[in-house]
Amino acid sequence: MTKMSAADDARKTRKLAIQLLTGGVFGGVAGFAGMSLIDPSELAGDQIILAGVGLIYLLMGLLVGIGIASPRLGSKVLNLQDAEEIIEQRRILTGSTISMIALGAALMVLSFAKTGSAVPPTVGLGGIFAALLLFVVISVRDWKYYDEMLLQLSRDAGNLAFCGIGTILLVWGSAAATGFASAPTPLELVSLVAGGFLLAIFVATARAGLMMPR
Amino acid sequence: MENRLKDYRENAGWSQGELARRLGVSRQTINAVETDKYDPSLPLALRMAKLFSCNVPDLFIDHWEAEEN
Repeated sequence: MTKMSAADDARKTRKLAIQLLTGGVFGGVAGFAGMSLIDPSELAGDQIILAGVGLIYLLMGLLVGIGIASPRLGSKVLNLQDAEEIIEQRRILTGSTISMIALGAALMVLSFAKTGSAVPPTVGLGGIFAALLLFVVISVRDWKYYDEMLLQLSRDAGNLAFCGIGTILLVWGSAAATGFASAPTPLELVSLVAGGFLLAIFVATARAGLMMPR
Repeated sequence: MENRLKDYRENAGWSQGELARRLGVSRQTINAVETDKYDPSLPLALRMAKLFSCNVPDLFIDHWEAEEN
């Protein structure tokens, strides 16, 4: 191994450690703040799961948002080569940030929106519609800035999500119909779809090698 | 697919960013191609070959051999 590649490997390892630490601290602080604001014993299991999925979307959006606001800092915590690359990708990253924050917040609001709770059901449903509308508008606007690999990644993630979520629903529905499992609640279905898409994006991104430290 | 894009790029004295700009793709795409994580489309492979004044098989190495009848 040459001195240069050893130094590069050390830099990548350092960067990976910073990314993991930042993600851990960010998630830990947000989780702790959430637990101190809300009493989990008052929430049903499906509400906690959906709020968790929403929180992941929200935190990821915020982390990328911080990276866009400060590309120098962003180049350390996001998996991009340097600050200049963040500036090059700013348009697409900004769209993703807004979409993820909106969807994350809407999912969290929906998790608390039940008849008789502090959040009225109309606010919960309205939030989801608004976030989806925003997502569609941003996606259509930014589509032309996607290069061929990003388009391929989007297609791969869509295929994975469709197959994964579809298979789980088929098995779960069949098991519920035959009395081997309880039927999914509406919030469990929303969690499955939202969480499934997020997982599919991670898997597609990892398969393209974009999770490797750069 | 195995490729020699990095060699051609470095011989030209270009960074990944410079090559990405010339080809109209992102730096991530160049990085993914160079590390064999992503096979570019035929139009992009042709543009790469044109840029380096070589043939596509000089850039991308396919070890497949046709079976003899």
